[in-house]
Amino acid sequence: MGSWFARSRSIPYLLKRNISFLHANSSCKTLPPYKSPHGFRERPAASILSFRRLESTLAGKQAQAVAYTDDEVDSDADGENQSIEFPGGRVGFTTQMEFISEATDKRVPCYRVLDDDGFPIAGTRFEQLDEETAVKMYKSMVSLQIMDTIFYEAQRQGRLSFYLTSTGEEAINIATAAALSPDDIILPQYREPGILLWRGFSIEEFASQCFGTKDGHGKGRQMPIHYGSKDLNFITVSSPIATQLPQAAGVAYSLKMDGKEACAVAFTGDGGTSEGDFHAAMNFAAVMEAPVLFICRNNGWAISTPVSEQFRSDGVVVKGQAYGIRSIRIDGNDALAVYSAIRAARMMVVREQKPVLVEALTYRVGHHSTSDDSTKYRSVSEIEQWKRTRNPMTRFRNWVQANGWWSDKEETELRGTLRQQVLKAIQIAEKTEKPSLGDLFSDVYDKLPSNLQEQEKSLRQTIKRHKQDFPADVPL
Amino acid sequence: MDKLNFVRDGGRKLPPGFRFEPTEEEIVFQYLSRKTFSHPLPALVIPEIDVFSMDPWQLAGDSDSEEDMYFFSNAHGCDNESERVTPSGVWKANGSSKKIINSSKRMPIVGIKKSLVFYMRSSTKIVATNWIMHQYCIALPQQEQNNCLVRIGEWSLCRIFMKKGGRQVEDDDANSYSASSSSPNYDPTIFNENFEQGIGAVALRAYSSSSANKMTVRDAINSALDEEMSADPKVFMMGEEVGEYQGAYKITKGLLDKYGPQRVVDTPITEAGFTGIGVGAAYHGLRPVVEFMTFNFSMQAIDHIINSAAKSNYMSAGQISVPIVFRGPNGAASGVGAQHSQCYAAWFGSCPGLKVLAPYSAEDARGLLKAAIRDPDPVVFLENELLYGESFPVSAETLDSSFCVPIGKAKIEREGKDVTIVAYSKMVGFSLQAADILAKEGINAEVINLRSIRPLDRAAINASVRKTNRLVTVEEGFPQHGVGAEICATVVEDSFEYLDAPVQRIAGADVPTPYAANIERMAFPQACASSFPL
Repeated sequence: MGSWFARSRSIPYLLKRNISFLHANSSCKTLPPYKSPHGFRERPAASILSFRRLESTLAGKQAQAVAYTDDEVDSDADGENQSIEFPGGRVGFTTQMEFISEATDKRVPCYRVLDDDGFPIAGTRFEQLDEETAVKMYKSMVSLQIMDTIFYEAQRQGRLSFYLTSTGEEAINIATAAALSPDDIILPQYREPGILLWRGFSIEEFASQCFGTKDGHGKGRQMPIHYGSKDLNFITVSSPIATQLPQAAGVAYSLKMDGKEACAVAFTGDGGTSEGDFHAAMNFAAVMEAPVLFICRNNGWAISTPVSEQFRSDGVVVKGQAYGIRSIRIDGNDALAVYSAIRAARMMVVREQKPVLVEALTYRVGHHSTSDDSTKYRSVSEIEQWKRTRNPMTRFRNWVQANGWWSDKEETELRGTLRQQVLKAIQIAEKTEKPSLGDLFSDVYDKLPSNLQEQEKSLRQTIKRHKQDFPADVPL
Repeated sequence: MDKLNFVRDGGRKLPPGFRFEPTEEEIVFQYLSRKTFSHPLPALVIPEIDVFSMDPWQLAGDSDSEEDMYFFSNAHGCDNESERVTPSGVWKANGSSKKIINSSKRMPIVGIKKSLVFYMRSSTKIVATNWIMHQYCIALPQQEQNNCLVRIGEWSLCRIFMKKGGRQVEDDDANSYSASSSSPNYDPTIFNENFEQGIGAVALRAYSSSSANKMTVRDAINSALDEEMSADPKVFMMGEEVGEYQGAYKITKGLLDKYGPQRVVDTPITEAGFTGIGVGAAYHGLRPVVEFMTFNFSMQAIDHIINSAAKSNYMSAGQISVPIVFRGPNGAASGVGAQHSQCYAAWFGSCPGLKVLAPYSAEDARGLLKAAIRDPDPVVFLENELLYGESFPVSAETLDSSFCVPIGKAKIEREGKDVTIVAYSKMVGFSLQAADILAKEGINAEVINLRSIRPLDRAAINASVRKTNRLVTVEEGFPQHGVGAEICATVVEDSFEYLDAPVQRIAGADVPTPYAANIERMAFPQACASSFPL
């Protein structure tokens, strides 16, 4: 897997300098610390100090957050170079009372490779994909989209009780899955079925879980979209929000104790970062040095709550440093950016055995779920705009086609085949038997306890006595 | 140094220069410190024996000498006030410990001297005897000054003698013994016998297989954790203060030193955080033991316990099992107020997917905790802070490292025929006291120790009620929707015809627990109404 570098002359963002890439040993360059021309430690003109963020990095040490700390610690003509020792380490002091601003002039920029039309931006650096991977990625995105569309329609027709789409977030789903290794353990929120798709979960298996049939590994225990697969290292979706985050730190701790070359990957949305579990997980993972990759899909909406009402910080990426966790913000609708960033982040997590936070900016095109009608709280034109002009699949498709690896004809064929496949899977799943009575009582504990044995026995006796009242669709 | 034959012409003849009326300094710094640090001893005349395995008069063997006896013994119990039990009685500490410091040099080693008196057990009470023991231990130097725990050396040197008239027992001076004119008689044959016996006793780590030994609930839990962590490298502990602080209630004492910070993890203050982490670790195959400082704090993590730990095996159709143990003190302590005193047996007991255990004695604690750690299902282990320091007799079987108590089986603590009293945790002790009081009135009560709240041993309860025809349930928790309500329902469903009277529930008052000691007592069941003023 070679890396393909491009140099640039002009880049709109701050990626101006030579940046070493991908290898953990390189250090990142920062802007030189502020030094007033008079040699005094004067503040810049604004009385409220802005703090610098990491300029750009895929690897390397963290840049200093606050410009003036350098001045304090260096020896100075003033002689005020002492630092004081407190629990937690030495800290420089200042005689100027300065509050760190609650907001910065510039938001943290997001890492992007493809422009809106799917062409690589001049000067961008990314990890090159080979044809096979790129085509597989694109095909998986199409599968996900078609599966979402048809299952959603099935729910609307009353054939399914509930469904939740990932429309607009196909790039995050598939590119992340492609960038991770199959040994990495995924703790999803619920908008990541693309990872299962990538790892080999079949459409039929998705249908079995949604319809709760006896064929699914789920034994009809969970609501639709609460997929899980031990073989594919995908922990079952859990409904309470953000509970998977500290659990991911625990899984990572276990991997660390095993010495495995794998990490735990936990997903959350923007809303999930408000939960207490998010704080506990980030803090604890940093303290324990657990190899967990936190991926936040900031899609702008938590059901009807926009991010402006969810938090007042600059998104989620700035929270990383607060916990001592390295973080990056990426364009989540740019499949190549997602792929490159996750690959790099994962390498950091596994090599350095430390947590990393990735904030992927995106947009939730669909409704939150089938129980939601988002036109009630956001404008239809906003949704349409993202769907048509800012579509992650279109951008990636343009790039793949520009490389000559895909064509319109293949597109039509693929869509046709997939539609048939999904429709057929639904039809079969609808007609398949549901789990049998015994599955009501098993797996509560490792072994069936006596009280449940009694209950099952008593239930079967009741069924015998009142055969006519027993529902026909429950196999005995 | 060879064992010299000191007996000549029937009497002991010591070589010149050797005397065995040592000062306290000599005891600590010449004999005990050398023994502790495995340096050669000046004389191999002091045998090693478990002094608590025999009654003091047996220690003298066949010798009818009335001189002081000296033994090296295990220093267990030297740093606390626990009583040491022997076959016929108990040694009790008499007064506080005394420090012995080397007068000549400022050594870091300090000796501790404990005075004990032997009480003989006779039918219903214990009677003081004239047997006195001075137990000398060594306080080892501490790393941190603010650690107020005393680390004592492995050995203690015990001087045992019979108090005679005129003999000072409470000696404050180093050299307080009136020098006896005759040299002590010493029979080496007894030495050899005692020595071998002593070796055998010491080899069983001071718990002799023949006699009943006692163990506190704290030691029971600590030893169970120690043994399970030693047997299975996947078992690890997590909680606030479990490592460096040795545990908020000293339950995890010594485990950090033994197993290291990767297996005894001190956590930041986030129940939600570390419970979630424990559940996640269990998903991936580790076997965490998560300690809550009290189960009142488990409410900050209850989503992880119920929604994740309890339900995951079912929801994942058997793919994800959660072999985790949540343990900690539950229920009322003493003067800790409403937010530290609630009993959670009923709440956790109503949740399918969990197993809920409530030990009473040391045997319960050891056996149930070992069973819980080995169990593939999530277990909530409800201890009791006030029981930690209580000692219970333990059999040799209990002390074996493979000992386990089956989950889901109650224990009949006391057989009876007139009424069944069902209780768990601390209330078992109160029920036994109540049964004693009832016995005086001619009522023969059967006391059942539930041990397991979920699964509930309905068979045992019903069998007992069918025998006695009357049932009283006792719990510390709130009455509404409590454990007693479930027991009553199960008996009414299964054994209605056998009941001669309605089932009686005794529970805590339906109020948040008050702090003031007098009304706190009123808020919980007590064994006997006449024991405190109303």
